[in-house]
Order: sequence, then C-alpha cells, then structure tokens
Amino acid sequence: MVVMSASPVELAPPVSETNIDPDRPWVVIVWNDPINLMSYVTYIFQKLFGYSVEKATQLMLAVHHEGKAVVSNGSREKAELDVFRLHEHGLWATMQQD
Amino acid sequence: MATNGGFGFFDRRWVRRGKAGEFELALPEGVEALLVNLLGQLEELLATDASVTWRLFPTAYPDNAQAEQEFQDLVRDDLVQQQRDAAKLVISTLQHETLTEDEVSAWMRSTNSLRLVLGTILDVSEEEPLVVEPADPLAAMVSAYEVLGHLVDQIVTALREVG
Repeated sequence: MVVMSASPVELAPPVSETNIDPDRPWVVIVWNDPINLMSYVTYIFQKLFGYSVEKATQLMLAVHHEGKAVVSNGSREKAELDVFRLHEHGLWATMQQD
Repeated sequence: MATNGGFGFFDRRWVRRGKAGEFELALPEGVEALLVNLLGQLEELLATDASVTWRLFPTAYPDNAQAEQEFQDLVRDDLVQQQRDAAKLVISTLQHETLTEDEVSAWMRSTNSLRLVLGTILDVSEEEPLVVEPADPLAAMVSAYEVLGHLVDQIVTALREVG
C-alpha cells in the first residue's frame, strides 16, 4: 500500500537488479504531451515540489519547447515517489540514472 | 430565467476562492451532467483496463522492463483506486456550494483524467489544431474536451488565489 503522506521508504524497490548502479543519482523527467494545460502543469510543479511560480513556469516551458525536462533528482526511492506523485496528477514522468 | 453557471451577471467563473479559504462552485447544470456521464464511463474503462486510459498509468522505467514491472506492481492498484475515489468524491459533492481545498484538488485531478482519456481518444496533437466538422460524430466529444479544459483551468486559477 502506497500512501502519499507516508515515508517514501514504503516505495523502496527490491535491490536484486544488476543493471542499476546503486551509487549513481536518479533524475525524474517530465515529457511534453499535447493534452495537459500549461497552467495545470505549472501548478502541479509548484504543488508537488514547492517550486516558485517562476521556477515552475521555467520548467513547464522547457518541457513544452524542448520536449522534456528534469524536474527533480535524488535517490532511487525519492525518484520513484516523485514519479508516482506526478503520475497521480496525470503528468507523463519517467526516471533514469543520471 | 435560467442561469448558466457563474456567480452573477458580471462574474462568469465556475469556481472561485471564498473569503474563508473555501472554494465556491457555480457550475452550469449541463457541466454537472457531463461530469456524471463521463465519470461513469471512466469507471467502466478502469474496470476493463482499456488502452485509452494509458495516459493515467504512464511508464516509469522505459528502458528497464524488470524495474518497470516491479514499479507497476507497487503503484498500479493505488492509482486505479485513487481515480475511483476522486470520481466518487466529485459525484458526491456535485451539488455542494463550497468545497475544501482537498476536495477541489480531487476535482482537478479527476477532471484532468477525463481530459487525458478524451484527448487520447481524439488523438490530440500540438501540430494540428482540434477541428471537427459539425456532422462529425466526435464533435460532441471535442466540446466536452474543451469544457473540461475550461474547468481544469478555472480550478487551477482558484487554487492560486489567496484565501
């Protein structure tokens, strides 16, 4: 059971994979999509990550013009939680090692 | 005379933040009916795992099938349940005059989910504007898509207003 407000540790993945380097940080990428409104995407970045309206707008425009943008980074557990929260809000987010 | 949503002749908003920080609703009745109809359809689509709902359940690990499977095993049921809970909340608060911030946030997510599904069915793209001939059977769906976009935008605007 994943609870948004609970500790991200609940999302801890199994560590059996050999192709994932545990020491390299992860980045969360949001991809451009033709459906989500610009105002909505900006607001979600502010809400989920606590970004200022300026930073959130900048990220939204990067997604819009460049097709994608890194919106957060950190441990694998943090990245998974961020991806989950973005998916909850209908944003197209993926994660990969930096 | 009939009213068509809004808080008054000069305030055509459907959602606004009230003085106590609550969110006031003034939806046209047709929009309420539209939400009931579409959320009912979404419920059916969720039950059948329909491909048009793929935008509600994106891939987290596009390059790692094993990690992706484990991620989906962790989150998929929760995402489906959240969609159902939010839809239920919208239906049950449709006649309310005010909503809490949590409630209006659920409205925003649920309305946006409907846009994602309709936009997928309509194959919306940034390259081509969404135009349909009046006789096109998809014309009503395009209208619904536009109305939902208006509602999402109004909710976001209201959430940004200082309470």
